[in-house]
Amino acid sequence: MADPAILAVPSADYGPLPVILFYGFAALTLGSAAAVALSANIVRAAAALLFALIGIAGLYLLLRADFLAAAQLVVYVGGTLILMIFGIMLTSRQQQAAEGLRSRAARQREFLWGALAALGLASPLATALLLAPWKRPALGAATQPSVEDLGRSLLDQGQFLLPFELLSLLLLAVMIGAAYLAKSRRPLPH
Amino acid sequence: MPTAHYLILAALLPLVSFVVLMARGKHFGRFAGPFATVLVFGSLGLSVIGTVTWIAKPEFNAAHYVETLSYRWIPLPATASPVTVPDVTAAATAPATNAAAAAAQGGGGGIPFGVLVDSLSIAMFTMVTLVAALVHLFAIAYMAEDPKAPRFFALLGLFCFAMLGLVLSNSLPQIFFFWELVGIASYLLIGFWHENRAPATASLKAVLVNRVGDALFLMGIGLLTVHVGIANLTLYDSSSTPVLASAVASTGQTELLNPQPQSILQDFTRLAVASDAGSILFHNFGASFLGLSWLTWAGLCIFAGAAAKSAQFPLHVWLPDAMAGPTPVSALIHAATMVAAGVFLVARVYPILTMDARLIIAVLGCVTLAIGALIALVQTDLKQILAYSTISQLGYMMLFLGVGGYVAGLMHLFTHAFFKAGLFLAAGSVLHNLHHQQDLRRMGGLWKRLPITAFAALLAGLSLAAAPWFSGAFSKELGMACVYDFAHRLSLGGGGQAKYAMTLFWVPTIASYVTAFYIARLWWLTFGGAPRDEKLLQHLPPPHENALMTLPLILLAFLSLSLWFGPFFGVASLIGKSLPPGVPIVRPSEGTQALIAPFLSYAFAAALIVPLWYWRGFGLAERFIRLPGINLLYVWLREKMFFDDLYRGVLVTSTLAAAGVLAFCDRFLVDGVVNGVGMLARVLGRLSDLFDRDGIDGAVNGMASTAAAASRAALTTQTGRIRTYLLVLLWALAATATLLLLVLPR
Amino acid sequence: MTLTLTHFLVLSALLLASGLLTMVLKRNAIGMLMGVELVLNAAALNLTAFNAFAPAPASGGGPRLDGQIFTLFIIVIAAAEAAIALAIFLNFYNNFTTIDVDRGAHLKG
Repeated sequence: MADPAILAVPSADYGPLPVILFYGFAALTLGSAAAVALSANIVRAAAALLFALIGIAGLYLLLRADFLAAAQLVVYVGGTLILMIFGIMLTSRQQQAAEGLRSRAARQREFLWGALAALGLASPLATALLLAPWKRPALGAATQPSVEDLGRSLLDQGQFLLPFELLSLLLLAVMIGAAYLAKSRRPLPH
Repeated sequence: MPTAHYLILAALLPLVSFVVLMARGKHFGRFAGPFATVLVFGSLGLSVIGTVTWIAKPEFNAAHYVETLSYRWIPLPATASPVTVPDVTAAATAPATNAAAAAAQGGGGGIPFGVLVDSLSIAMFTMVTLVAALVHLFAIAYMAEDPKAPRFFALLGLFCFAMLGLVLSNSLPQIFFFWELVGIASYLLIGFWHENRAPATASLKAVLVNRVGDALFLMGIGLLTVHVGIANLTLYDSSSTPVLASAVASTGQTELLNPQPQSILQDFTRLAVASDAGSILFHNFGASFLGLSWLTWAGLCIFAGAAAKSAQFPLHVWLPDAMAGPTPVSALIHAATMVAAGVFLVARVYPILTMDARLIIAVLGCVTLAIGALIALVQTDLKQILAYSTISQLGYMMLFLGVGGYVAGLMHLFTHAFFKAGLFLAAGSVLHNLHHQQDLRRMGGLWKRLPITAFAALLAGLSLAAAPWFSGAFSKELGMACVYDFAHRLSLGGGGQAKYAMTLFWVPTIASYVTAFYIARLWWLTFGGAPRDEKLLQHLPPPHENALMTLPLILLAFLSLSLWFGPFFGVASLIGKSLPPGVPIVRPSEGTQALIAPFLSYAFAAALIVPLWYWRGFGLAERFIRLPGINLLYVWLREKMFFDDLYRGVLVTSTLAAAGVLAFCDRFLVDGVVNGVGMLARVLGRLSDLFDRDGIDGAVNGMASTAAAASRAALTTQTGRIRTYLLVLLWALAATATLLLLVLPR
Repeated sequence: MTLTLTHFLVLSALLLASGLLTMVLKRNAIGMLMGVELVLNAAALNLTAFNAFAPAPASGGGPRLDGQIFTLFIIVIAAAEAAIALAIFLNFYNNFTTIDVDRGAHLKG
């Protein structure tokens, strides 16, 4: 783009490769996200979500956040998504039947309103972003941040130490809370 | 492996005992005692190994050597710079240079959790573990029939851990931390039989009295923090620099700490002359409050904490009551170790104690030792006598430290720990045999029933009476020589205090005669002569002396011999190595010691009149105390100089009275106001009610029905379906985004 | 042809929209959770992108990493949130023998 106010991240050494990669990952992410939204089968939605998350991990790589890409794969794909699939398997007994109960017309109506609303939100947002005059930052920022730097600002310099420790507290609370909530109880007489 | 590692491990073993026995004590049953004992013996073994490695170090031969391990405990910004206080004297400001700032850097910008190993902590550590191990052994037999024994041993473990941690602490905040932990353990153990009233109230009293001292201790730490910065509260840094002492020195108080002539006594002379125009007893040098400098106040506040733990006048009242706890606890905590922690603390802050503070400590120690010895003279409860004797001996230690006898005061701490623990364990053995009959008037002639106990008590008692060849005499002679040196020089100086200076020497000397008398009286009335209460003995099972009980007794009795503390084992030179160089202390000459020795030897002779005096039981004594004049004195001493009544009368009653006044205010004043307001509100309410019913109600009812209709209409949108809500939310978001895009300027 | 901040931001906006759409369309509670995850990922992508394009700190030192750390926190918190949500769904399933969110309409007026 000619506008000097818009900055290119990766240096020009790589030629058009980053852009091509970006569009590839973006297509993967958005296509999978759309599949998540539109698929009627929850297992297929989960599979599509897997690809969406992988696509985002690729985008993180383009943004030079290598550790984030790894964390995305390990935590999201390896943890959260597996958790969801477990959830699906534990609760999928009557799911197909319940989906089938909805009339075709009702589903089409829902889809129409939902898609319209999503488009209604996305289009002004995208317009605004395309028009936004971003200030050009100093190019010095383009040094490759390493995992070490990330670890330092998390723990060593004490900048994010408190949130980090709070996060561990949160995880502990979540562990206890989830175990407590998921304790099986007698179903209500329904 | 550095020495410190052995010691840390040794300190943690009792903690293991505490945790395990607290959690699973019930499962151990009667094996709880042996379990705890094995762990404590492990501590003892490790501390002995630590001592050996320490002595084997090549640096050990230096005059002063410390080793520290330091971990970050409370991180603080390194900017905590010492506040320089403008001083009244010009000379004092001269050395206030960058030394403090450098020391602040050395402090690492925070309060470290440090381990300090020096000769003092080595000696203390070995003493504590040794006495603790022997007391544990004794307690196995003593607590055998008690169903709560696992809890007892668990608490003993907690105490040992806290005490050992205290000994190893490297900063004042850390010492305070363990100080409190020791206090808690003591509280729990005094009130161990809390089903009974006496132990419960005694434990409460111990805590309340100690609270006074602890509050002052904390204030002392605060004072130091204000003047030298919190980072400098460490005792030593990794390069053996005395951080606290040098930081204090750099605040311009050096004149007070380290007088120019090498002898503090000359300094006192100088100051005494200088102070004639000013205050009576103290000089005005660097005064900040009530004629004393802030550093003196800091030292005195810290001493107040030590005084509460070590039962010094006027905070000594808790210790006699604390005897309500089990006797092994009295032996370990309230005779040998915890009460000595106060003395230990004074020794730890010794480099920053000013001459003024030292003098006050000496005077208070002197008062305490007199009070303790005199009250012990007339008590008839076995453990009460020992408790007052402990108070008295702690007074001696404080006096020795106060006059500059650093080594002597600590030596007395060590010798006292062994012989007093021995005496207490002997008392425990007696009580165990007599089913907790503590009254001396009903004992007598027990040497036939308990020969080994009687022998052990005799040795330990001789040591307390400072008989020749016993450890008590060794340390007391050393200390009294220091006292004599100090008092003599002080009296030569002229000025206000010169006239009274020798009192500092004569009071403890006379008290040592009293000491010999009361301990001989205790031994004779318990073991000697003929049984005075045959009925009591008839109801008891045949005497037995459990080997578990006698073994520690015999060991402690032999540790009361002078041999172990003399030059051969070098305990004195070991202690001497723990003071950083440059701190002025008194080293009495051989001549002084030779001058003093006869006085103390004659003191031992006071013990010899006891069998005559009590040959036929209390008859002679009973007649003596009915003499006019003597009877008043007797009642005064028997009632413990009315300290308890005084405190109850003045402090407790006034507190309760104040509370009563406040309660009165609350009930009548505040409640009256509240009730009045309530009444007023009711009248107003009555008035407005009339207005309401006709005027407002109509309007309110109208609004209510409108709202009801509106909410019924709104209710239809409440489908309860989360997806519907989401969809509405999404539309609202979309609308907002569009609106913003259109409205906001580019 | 270079890669700009706008590329990433527009992509993230579209991802947000599809996430919201997923939440609206799915009757399955876990499906809704997937929508939430997409929305969170959109936000995280935004932060990372801003981080990559931000100027270096004036004081020197290491690169500016606030955005990446926020993203890291988002990933962890999302995992926590998923765990709690799934526990709630299992509870829901125990009570209603289904996780159709339309069946859980007991709060309707």
